[in-house]
Amino acid sequence: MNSAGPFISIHNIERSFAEGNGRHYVLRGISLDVAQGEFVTIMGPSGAGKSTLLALLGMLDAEWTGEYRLLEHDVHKLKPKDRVPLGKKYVGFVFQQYHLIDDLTVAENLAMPLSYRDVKASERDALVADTLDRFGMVAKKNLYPRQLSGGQQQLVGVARAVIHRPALLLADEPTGNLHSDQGKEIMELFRELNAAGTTIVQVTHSEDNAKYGNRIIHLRDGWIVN
Amino acid sequence: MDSLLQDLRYAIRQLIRNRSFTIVAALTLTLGIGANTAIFSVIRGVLLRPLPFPEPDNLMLAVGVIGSQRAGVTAPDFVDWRAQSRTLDLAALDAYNANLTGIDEPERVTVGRVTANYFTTLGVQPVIGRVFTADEEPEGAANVVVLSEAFWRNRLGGESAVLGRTVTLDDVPYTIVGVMGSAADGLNNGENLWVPLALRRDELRATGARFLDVVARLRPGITHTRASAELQSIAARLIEVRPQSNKDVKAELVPMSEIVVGDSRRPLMLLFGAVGLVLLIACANVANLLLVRASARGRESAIRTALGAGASRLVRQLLTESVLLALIGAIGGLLLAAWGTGLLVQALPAGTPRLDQVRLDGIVLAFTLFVATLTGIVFGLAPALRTARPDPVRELAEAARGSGGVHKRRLGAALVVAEIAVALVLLVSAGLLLRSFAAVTRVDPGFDAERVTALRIALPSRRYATPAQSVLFYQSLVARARELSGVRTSAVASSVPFGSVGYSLAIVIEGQPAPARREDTPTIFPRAISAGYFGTMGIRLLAGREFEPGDRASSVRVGIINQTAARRYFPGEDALGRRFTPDDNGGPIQIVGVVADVRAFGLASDPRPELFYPIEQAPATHWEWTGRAMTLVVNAKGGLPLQAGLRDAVRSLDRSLPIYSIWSATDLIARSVAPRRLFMLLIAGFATVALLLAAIGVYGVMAFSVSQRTRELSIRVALGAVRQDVMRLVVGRAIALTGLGLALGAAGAFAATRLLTQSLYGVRPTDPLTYVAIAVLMCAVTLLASYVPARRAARVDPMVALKNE
Repeated sequence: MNSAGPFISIHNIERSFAEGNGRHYVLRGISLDVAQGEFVTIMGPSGAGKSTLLALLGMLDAEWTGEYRLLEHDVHKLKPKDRVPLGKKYVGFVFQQYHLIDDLTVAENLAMPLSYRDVKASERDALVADTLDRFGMVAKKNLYPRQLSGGQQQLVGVARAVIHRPALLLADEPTGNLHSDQGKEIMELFRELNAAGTTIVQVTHSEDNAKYGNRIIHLRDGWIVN
Repeated sequence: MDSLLQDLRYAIRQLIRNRSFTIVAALTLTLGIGANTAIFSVIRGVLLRPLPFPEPDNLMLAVGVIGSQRAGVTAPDFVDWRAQSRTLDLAALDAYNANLTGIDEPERVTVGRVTANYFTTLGVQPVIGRVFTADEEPEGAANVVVLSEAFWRNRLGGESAVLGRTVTLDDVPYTIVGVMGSAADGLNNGENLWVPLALRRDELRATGARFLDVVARLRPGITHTRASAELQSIAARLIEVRPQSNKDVKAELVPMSEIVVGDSRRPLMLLFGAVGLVLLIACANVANLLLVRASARGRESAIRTALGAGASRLVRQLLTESVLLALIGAIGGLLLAAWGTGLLVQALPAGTPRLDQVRLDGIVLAFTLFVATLTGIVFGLAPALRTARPDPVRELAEAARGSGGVHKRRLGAALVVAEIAVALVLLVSAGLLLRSFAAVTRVDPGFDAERVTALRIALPSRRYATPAQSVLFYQSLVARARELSGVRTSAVASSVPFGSVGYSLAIVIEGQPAPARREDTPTIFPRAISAGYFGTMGIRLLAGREFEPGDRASSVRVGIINQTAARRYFPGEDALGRRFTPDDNGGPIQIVGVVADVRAFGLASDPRPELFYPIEQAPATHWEWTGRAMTLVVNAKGGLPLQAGLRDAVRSLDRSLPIYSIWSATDLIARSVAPRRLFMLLIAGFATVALLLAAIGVYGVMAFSVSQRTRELSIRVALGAVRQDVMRLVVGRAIALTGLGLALGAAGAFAATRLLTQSLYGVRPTDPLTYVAIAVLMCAVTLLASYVPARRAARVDPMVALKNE
């Protein structure tokens, strides 16, 4: 990886939706650098554009204007379909609702991102076994999501997000549905991952969670208001 | 009651509010219920409607049974049965064709010779005039005739003044004494008029001629078992009286309904089965639509339950809605059936009995109502139970999350698997019938059908009393026909392929021992032909010679047999020069030739032994038994000018002769396969509807599944799945469902197509090609049906995964 420049550099990003005859702006003139190994927190009221910014950073959204550089890649110059492999390579997602697939077991949920990255079955099994061990979930590998508590489900969600060892972890309200103890556990896990070198961008309403990061960015009505 | 009305009001409101759902579901049901109503109305008319006789269950046909074959009754046996039976009233009928003159154009009519008690035994009354009296029965007693109502109305204008008028049958005048109601055509022979059955002395002596249909009615208080036992004991006694003709012959009472219905029962019941399957598929489709709606209404049910509604109350409310929907479908179905039944009746083969009885009556309406109610319950119950057993907490949570419905998806998937399985059964059946039909039409009839035109005439006995007179007439006719322009050759034959079957004769082969069992007696179908018949028909001579001018009435009686007769009766031997004696009082015949087989009895029927002899040597019995009828065949370029020329040729010889049928051989062959073609087309039509409905079902289930799995699919995309991955997921599921449906359907088809064995030709019910082709077709259709939902799934927005609520 290139350590000379920022890990993420976005400049003058705008995101809008058609609304009636005009346009509704969700993000306006966003410019931001995130260094490698940073743990950044995005805060702001509902509708401020936090999740939209996260989706944009994770290559899930292509309908924006401005400049986005990820390491040496000029994302804004790539066609939308060429951005997908970048997302697959560098990004892992953690969602507020955990978003585990109901009909898949814990182990199968973990294996899913690997199957989308054409990881060989033998290697996939080894990685799943490693991750289950690392997250202390070996005993639960054959359980279905509904058989787990919320905290356990989010643990699987985080494990699934990092199983392919992404350099960037994007977390959207990762503890929003958890008790404070469970939430704390997840945040400690984030701290460990960050310490191990993973760059993290999280969206949260929680001041306590924000404290786990190095920097807080406030969004309001699509603008950065720091 | 109040709550039921409340349910009904709510159901109506729901159906009105969800108009597009209501329209799609009602149209689907209209198709299913309409097809069932149409076929049921035909079944009701043909099979179920009571026969138009008083106490129809007591009415039977008494038949002879040789081996496993039913046969008619000989005149001496009938006389003895009638004299000896104490349990049955017995009457006899012999239907024949005659030339009717004295009214406008001469016409060929079907005449029933009946015993005086025939109409009273049936229990039918004359519309005007009277029936026959016992003293009119003996030979020569009275030349009286009773008309059928149809003949009276169509040919005589329905005037009551016809009583006492005279009509001429085969040059013999008959006085009209009555007109029978339409019910009198009890045996479905299509008689136009009836004359007394005056059994002639030669008939009373003919111990081998089984030409009588014997109608039997149980006397009051007599059971079928008792009458049957009595008839069998009489038949057993008659074996001793006439051992030669009655050895191994039993007697049996067959219900009249079975006789009237004939061979129509089987195809009709198969069609009924087919439309039943179509209705099942329609039910599955509507059930799927209801499941989709149920998922949208899950929250409503959860709230109702949370507010205290019991499961039964919820089920009742939902069933009210589905039954109401089915009744709307029933109204559409009745309209469709009213239109379709008429078409069906027109399309059914002309020989199908009692088509005039087919109509939408109270019973058909009741059937439709019953089917609709049952249908409403069948397609409504599963979704209703699913909806009415909600887990309020989960439903509300899932409704809030816009996800879930796993159980509903599974039920929908199970329904679509069933649809595919049922559709496969119908499609395989249609495929087998199609291959069968193709195989039949590829069969070589064994003669030059393309160039043969035929015309049938019969000579009245008065003016053509001797065989020589008939021979002279037909020879002159052949000569006249040959002079027509475009005609290459011409000939006459007493029976031609696909024309009249003729009659069969028992034969005794010289040098071979008599068979031990009566049913093994060799038989042969005789055809009297003129010189040049084989050339005209394009039938190949395989061995020996054709008939020559030297084969005269006074010379040695000669015959040419077909290949089947040669193989069956002279296996491994040379038939030429061998002699056999047919049971026609004409003496022994020496075989001088063998011709190739012709599919005389239908393309799908194996050839049977046939004997050809020169008309000059046809015995008097032949002319008598055939009513001196012959078919003129010409090998020529067909068309109307030729037909007109042929008519003129007949008229130039005898103006009073009616020409009652003129046809080209290709028309005749086409007509012979018409019932098979119609059955195939109907089954194929229903199978196509089934396939369409199944495709709609697959589409619905996949679309529903995609809509329910939006969140899951968006997560997958967020986690790295690309367009192809998502499409593969959706299409893969469709393929899995199709595969399961095909496996179940193949097992079902394996069992169901056994019922078709009788209707198949040249293809086995397990024909692998048909199964594979249909499976491929169904895979293609279901793939196509799942493609649109798959494309929609591939466009899922991964941002959905990030939206918290």
